[in-house]
Amino acid sequence: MNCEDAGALLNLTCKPVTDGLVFLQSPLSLAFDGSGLGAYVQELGNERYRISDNANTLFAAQTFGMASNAKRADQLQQIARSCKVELSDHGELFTVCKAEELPWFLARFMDAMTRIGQACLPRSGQAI
Amino acid sequence: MPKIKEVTYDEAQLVISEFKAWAAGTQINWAQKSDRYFPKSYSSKNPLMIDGLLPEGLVLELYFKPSILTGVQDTFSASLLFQGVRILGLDAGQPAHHLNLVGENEEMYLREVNPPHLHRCVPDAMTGYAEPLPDASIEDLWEDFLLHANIMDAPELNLPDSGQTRPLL
Repeated sequence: MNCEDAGALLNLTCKPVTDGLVFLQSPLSLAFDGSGLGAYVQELGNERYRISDNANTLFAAQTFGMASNAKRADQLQQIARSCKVELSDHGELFTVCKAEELPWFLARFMDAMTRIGQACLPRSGQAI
Repeated sequence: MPKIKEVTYDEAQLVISEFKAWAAGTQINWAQKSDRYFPKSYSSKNPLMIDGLLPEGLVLELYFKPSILTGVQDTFSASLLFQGVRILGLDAGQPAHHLNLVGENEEMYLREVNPPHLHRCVPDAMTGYAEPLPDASIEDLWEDFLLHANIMDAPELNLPDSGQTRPLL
């Protein structure tokens, strides 16, 4: 194994969306339906970036029948905060960071999406 | 998420192959979901008839989410549900691919499928397998989905706006 090349094994692909906005696609997927995990990264200027899921994670869970209630909201908020990510009033996972913090926050963002995907599984643990 | 009843592959195939008639009126009625900390999305639950009867547990659910981010596609999802299982589904507008970890004998097994795509059940799994669809407008994809699902007499797709929605009960 060549360690110099091995760093790129967990392939992350980048799709341009609009000026200053890209979508980063990871090889990871949501537990309940196999949707790929990815994040929008938007340049805010002054070497700051905003990472967002455009509320797609919880929308996908809604389409699979997830109930949206206060108890679930508390649980999801706790998961997001434990990963240093915010959950907006509109169900958007997001965070803002400096350029040099981007790798760390991007990893935490994927953590948050993965853990929220697990939390949205039905009780049986089977993907639906 | 709700606990679901067991549906076999053969049952699902039979339900999909039956001709089904739209039984929800002349237009799609959307209900807005606006719970705090959840996406501001719209959904529509539509019963379907087979041979003039409304089979228990058979429903077509539609979901629509306007994009929060400027310049990003809106998201649309259609699900033919039988006993709570998504036996056929359409996903459009999502940015991410779908990874097929089920469907061992299917062409797209272990492959990534870009949106739009059609979810269908396979012998080893009721959900989790998807196949690519040609890139098209949501309206055209809706028409294609109706053909795949054998649903007749459905209205044209009227995507929601503030004048067409009612609060979710």
